[in-house]
Amino acid sequence: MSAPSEFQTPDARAFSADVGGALFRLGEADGKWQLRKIAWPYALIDVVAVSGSFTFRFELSQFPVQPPTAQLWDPEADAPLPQQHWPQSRGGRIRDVFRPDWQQGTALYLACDRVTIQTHPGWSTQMPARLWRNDGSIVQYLEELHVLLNSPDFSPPLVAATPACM
Amino acid sequence: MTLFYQKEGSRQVHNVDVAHNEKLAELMARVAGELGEALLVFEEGCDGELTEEAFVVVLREKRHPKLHFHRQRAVHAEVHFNGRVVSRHASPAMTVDALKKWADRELGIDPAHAAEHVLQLSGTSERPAGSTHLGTLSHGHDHRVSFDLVPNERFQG
Repeated sequence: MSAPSEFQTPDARAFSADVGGALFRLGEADGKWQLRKIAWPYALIDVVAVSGSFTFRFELSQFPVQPPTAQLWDPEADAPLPQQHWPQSRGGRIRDVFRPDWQQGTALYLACDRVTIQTHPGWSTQMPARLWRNDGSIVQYLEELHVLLNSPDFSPPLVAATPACM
Repeated sequence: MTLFYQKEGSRQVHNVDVAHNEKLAELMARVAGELGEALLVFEEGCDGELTEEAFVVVLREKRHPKLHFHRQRAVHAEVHFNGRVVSRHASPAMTVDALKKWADRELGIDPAHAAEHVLQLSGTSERPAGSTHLGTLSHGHDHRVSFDLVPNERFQG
């Protein structure tokens, strides 16, 4: 994890404070997620699933005023995670969110995702509870992912996921 | 070690470093703040108050203890669903996740349908995180918290 620096931009400082705060650290202590690396404006965070874990690369420009956007990531190759390693769905919500056809897999189909909400303005009135809060914490996005990856709809990837890191 | 806690009147999770031999009374003095001296302490997942003796065991056996500080021994929690209401007295340290599991059982909702519903604070669009303690959601001297069990929207289209 990158150390806070006086040269950091305000959004980078805000994110550093967020992941150093009790709410994020509680999730780490509970084994829900783990910060891997910050290379501003990106951060790699592992989210634990029913089996294994998945790494997400978050793009965090103007955090927290603007929502994050995230994609599945292969930390070893430092590249987007190949589709055969993506979480699989039993026909429910996983399939809705992890869509290879959505932005070529570079964003998740969630109302708290910056790229997705920008193209779905109607969701602002249809599902206010699911929107990014502009004083928010990355924990909001991570909770969405953790619930999905630990739901009855989750099925392991066609090829085994990265082993849990904690 | 790092100890996580939530408390009455605050929607935030807090953390504090404690020594392995710290007394519960010393910890309470550090975190009480505006809540004063009449605080009770609860461990997440347990109904009864935490005693000095039990605190010694918690510090010895838990890697990251999770406590709650509150002035009441219980909050009254109710969950509304399809015209039905289930209610109970609960430890202030009961999580929203634990209340959801209890309500699902009481209302006879099968696991597949349970995963499609979430708890939302009545009269709001707010859905507290599953790790939130019920004791953080009660207001002032009204130690009640009311939820609606609502369908979680799907992202489609």
